[in-house]
Amino acid sequence: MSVHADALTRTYRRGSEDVHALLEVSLAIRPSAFAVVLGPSGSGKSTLLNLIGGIDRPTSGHLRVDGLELHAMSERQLDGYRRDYVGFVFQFNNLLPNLDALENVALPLVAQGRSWAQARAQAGAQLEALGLGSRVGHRPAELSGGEQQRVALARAVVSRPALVLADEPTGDLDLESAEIVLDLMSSLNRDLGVTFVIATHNPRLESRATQVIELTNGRMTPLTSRT
Amino acid sequence: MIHLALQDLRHDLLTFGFSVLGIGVLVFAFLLLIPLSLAITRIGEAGGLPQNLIIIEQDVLQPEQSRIAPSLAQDVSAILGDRLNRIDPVIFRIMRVEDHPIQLRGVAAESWVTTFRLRLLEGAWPSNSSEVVIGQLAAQGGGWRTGSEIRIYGQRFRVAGIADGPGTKTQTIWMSYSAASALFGPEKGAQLLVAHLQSSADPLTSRQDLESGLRSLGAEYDAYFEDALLREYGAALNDLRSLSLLTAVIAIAAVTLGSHNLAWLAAEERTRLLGILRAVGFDRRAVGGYLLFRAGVISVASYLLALAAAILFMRLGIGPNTLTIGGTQTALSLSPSMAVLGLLLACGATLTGTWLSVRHILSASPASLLGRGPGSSFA
Repeated sequence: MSVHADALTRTYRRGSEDVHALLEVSLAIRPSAFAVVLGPSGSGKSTLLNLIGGIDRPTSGHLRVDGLELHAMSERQLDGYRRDYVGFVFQFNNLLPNLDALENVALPLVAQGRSWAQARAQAGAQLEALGLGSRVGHRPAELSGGEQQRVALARAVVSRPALVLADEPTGDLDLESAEIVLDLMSSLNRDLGVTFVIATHNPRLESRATQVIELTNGRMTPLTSRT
Repeated sequence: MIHLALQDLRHDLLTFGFSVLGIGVLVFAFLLLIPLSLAITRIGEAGGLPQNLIIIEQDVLQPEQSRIAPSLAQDVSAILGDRLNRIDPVIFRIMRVEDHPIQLRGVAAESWVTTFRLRLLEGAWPSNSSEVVIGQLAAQGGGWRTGSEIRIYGQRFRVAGIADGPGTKTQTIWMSYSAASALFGPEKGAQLLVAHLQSSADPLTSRQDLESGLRSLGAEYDAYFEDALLREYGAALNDLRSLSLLTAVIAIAAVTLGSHNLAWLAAEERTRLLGILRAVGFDRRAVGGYLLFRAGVISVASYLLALAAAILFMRLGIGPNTLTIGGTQTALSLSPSMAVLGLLLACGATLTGTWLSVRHILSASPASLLGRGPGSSFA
């Protein structure tokens, strides 16, 4: 899935002040890319992912994902876009605490209209594929941080979205757990052709990237994106 | 979403329990107040309270000296209009019957039960003009029984039965108006008029209207309540009925407000959860359905708890389950239609309160639900 942004701006109102979280950002992410968005805190990485993921709207500019004009979509159309094309991985508090791992992973499938029984079966297979077959019945509080992120990754890819957005997916993990999660992401990208856009301030991720986008103070850093 | 809501409630049993208890108490109050109000209405409709205005000639010290003009009944009917149920002329005498002081009343027999609320204690109602019924005090004072012969004003009458009305304090003999008129002579006419008001009519206002209406006609009559004490009962009863209905409405309004607050708290606590649901593909309708279904489960559980408590209270006699006013007793009961009404109102109030509180959550973008403004991460 390709992403094209043209003069993308997102401005928040904070009191009487306008805060430009993103300003005039133009970029292109190629289909099946493993794109890493680098930048310090407050650089606009999360805002960019919000806009690409359709959970927020640009103040101005154009954003096209595989021909879908996101900036012009209605709320209902954005709901459908997220449901059918996008998977999310958050940094922490990713999972619904009252559901076990299997049910958490099944959620996107239920949102697509599948029965809980069908969704559970497919979610079980996905957890098995990510090495969590023995943890299906555990609730998030009973899982380690690394396991929680793997469950979140399973949830993000279980419905086979064309695009997975991950914001600081390893930010809360120890080194070993972080490597496991990143390996899984790389293999999913490679094996399934899923486009990954990962926001991080960890430069070590750069080595795995097929494309790097750097942001500073809401603007694209010159010479990016690199491939 | 149903599964998600049930899981949510199952894993937060303490909050669920307190929510059910909080709403249940209000629904319980509603389920008791509506039967109370209906019981009070039943008492009013059963004639348990006086709705009788007695019209008597002005400045007459003894009622038997009063004279009622033949056209007065028509004037009273015109003044009271549809507030009037029935109007009866009464032949009233205080006299000695076989050496016993007796209050004799001659009234149309068809008004004895409805207007004067006579209750037959023994024997039967008179079947002809030579029969009378006597009050319990008269039976005791005169030593008369059903079937006894009594000589009244020189004429013999048979006691058909013994009957009493509420608050009877005198030895009384009742006969039909025609029998009394024939006995004392039609030219003497009636001494009193008794206006029996509809149960929906306000006695105080009716009395004021009647008095001012009669004055404007130049008629010199006074209007009294049958019994001042019972009149006050009547006023209190009307107030009680209004108050219990008002309290029932307040209880339902409190269910709405309580649900609003509970749903607001639940939604605030689950803002991130709702954001995740929106992010993974659930639309607003599905998320709204989750919140409303959750509220619906709470309302149905609250209702069942309240219904069980109300049934225990009313049917098993755990609490006071009868109402006695003015000598009339009626049981508090919860009919199926009231139970269904309670369920519909409880669910309606809960869902309304929930919807009012979660509207802003449903209209928020997933990003704001996830707390993703400038400077935030996907956290």
